[in-house]
Amino acid sequence: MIHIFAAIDCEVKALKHLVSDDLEIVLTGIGKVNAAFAVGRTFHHGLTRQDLSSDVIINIGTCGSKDLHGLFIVNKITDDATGRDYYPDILRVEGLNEASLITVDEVKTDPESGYLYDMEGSAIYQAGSKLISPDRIIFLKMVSDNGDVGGVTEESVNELVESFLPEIEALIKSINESIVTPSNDNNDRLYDLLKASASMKVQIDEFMRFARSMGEDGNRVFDEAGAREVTSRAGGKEVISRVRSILTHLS
Amino acid sequence: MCAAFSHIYLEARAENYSETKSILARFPESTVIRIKHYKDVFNRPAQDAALQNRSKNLILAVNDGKKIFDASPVCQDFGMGKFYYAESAMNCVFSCDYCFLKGMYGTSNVVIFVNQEDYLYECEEKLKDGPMYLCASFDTDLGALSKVSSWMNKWEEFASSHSDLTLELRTKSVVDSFKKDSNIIYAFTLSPDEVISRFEKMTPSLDARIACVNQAIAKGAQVRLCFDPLIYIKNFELCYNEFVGKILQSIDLSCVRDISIGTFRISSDYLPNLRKACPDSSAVLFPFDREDGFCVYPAKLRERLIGIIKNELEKAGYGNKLYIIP
Repeated sequence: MIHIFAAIDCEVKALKHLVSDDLEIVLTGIGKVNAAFAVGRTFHHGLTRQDLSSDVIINIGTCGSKDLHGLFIVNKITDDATGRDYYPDILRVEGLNEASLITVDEVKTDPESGYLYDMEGSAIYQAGSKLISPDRIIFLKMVSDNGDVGGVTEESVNELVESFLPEIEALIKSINESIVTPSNDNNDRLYDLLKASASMKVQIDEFMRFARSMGEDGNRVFDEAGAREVTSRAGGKEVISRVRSILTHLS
Repeated sequence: MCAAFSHIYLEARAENYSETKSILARFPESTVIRIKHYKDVFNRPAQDAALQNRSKNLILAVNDGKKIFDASPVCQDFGMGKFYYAESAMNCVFSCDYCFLKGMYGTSNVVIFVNQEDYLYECEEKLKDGPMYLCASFDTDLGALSKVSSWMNKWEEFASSHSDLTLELRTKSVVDSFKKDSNIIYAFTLSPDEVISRFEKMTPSLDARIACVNQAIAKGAQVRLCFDPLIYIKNFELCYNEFVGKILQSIDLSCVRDISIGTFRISSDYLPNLRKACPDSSAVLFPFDREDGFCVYPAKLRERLIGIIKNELEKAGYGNKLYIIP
């Protein structure tokens, strides 16, 4: 699942047509607290890193810069208030210009040369990285102003975001292609046959994976070890022990 | 081996070291990202080491902590007394499925420490207590990094002028220059091609490594061969028999200083990370025995694996050169 976080309504509107079963857009509101809350709310279901191993956070939004123009992928975020730096891992995106982002608490009217400025990035990274790996937290920023936000209107933001839609869509396509959904082992048949306890299930899973990695049919190995004839958990343990012996004598 | 790092993370305090400047000059296309401390990148939680492995990044840093460490008890000390390793770099540009580095670090990115003189000073201080044996290519493969960093040459030069230091430079790479000082040992890890292609990704072929060994011997360098780790694969007896036969045919072992033999073993703490990094690799999915905090092959399998190499080398008259990790 891809979760796009955008700070203002007109950014969300410009991206809305991207919404699908596998992509949601979340309006965070402006500022770090709002952004962190929005990320927390999105993943509030007691999920673990493993549950979210194919989820991606993309923060898309406008930003300020004294002298940079266009669309950037962010390779470093500095929280202006704390001085702490964060480093999204640029592994899933190619061909976009990169820049460093400074997240500020108030609009920066005198930005430093060579940087992007926003008001949410560091909070999204901090909150997101509690559950999502740094290669799957992506920041895409479009420069809308040079610190003077007087000329920034709903229409100008909408127009700016729409002008980069081809790049944004290409990015989402490439992210989707790079995400591999982990396959779950389904060894329920063996668990039942061997009357497996929790620790026996772990062993069964490990042996099945090892058998596969050696080019063997794990189910056949378990059958050969007598998995069909088990009447008690102790019998199941004996089978597991025989499977181990078979797997370690494949030469 | 000269990896093209798409990104180089540069510690601010590392910027003015000559090693930094020469490394950056070698990678003009890389995006350089300024960082405060290497751990901010290297130690980020929950990194996708498997994905990073496809595009490793480089981190240039200053090590202001300990630089030379006591060696692990599972390492072969070749009868030498004071046995240390130097952490000149962390992680490797190669990608061996079974490597303890994959278990130890949650990242595939490579750190090179650039404050080389501080390392040499610490080494000199330790030498004041008497001769020492130092593995300089331990948490990395300095040979593989030799097109990136000057570390290998630096240690060689230091050892040349410090005869009380015995330096081991272990590598799977094809190195192109050797010193013939008696206290500098070039230790080559050799494996059958099947093991190389399945588990030692990005490393040179067996033929290339053999050619490199012969070049080192021809130049009069001290050469150690490491048949370690031996890996359990299907038909391992046939595979390792052919392998040792090829070694005996291709390398004049009378010119080799010594030979180490050991089977795969790893700290139990590292195995989960290793399995996460290489989820389909039989090298790490094996149902290991656990002995004293280490995951090892069952004793009988260890004996069989070691026996293949040991017996052939003994038959050929090289039994006196063998160091075996049981």
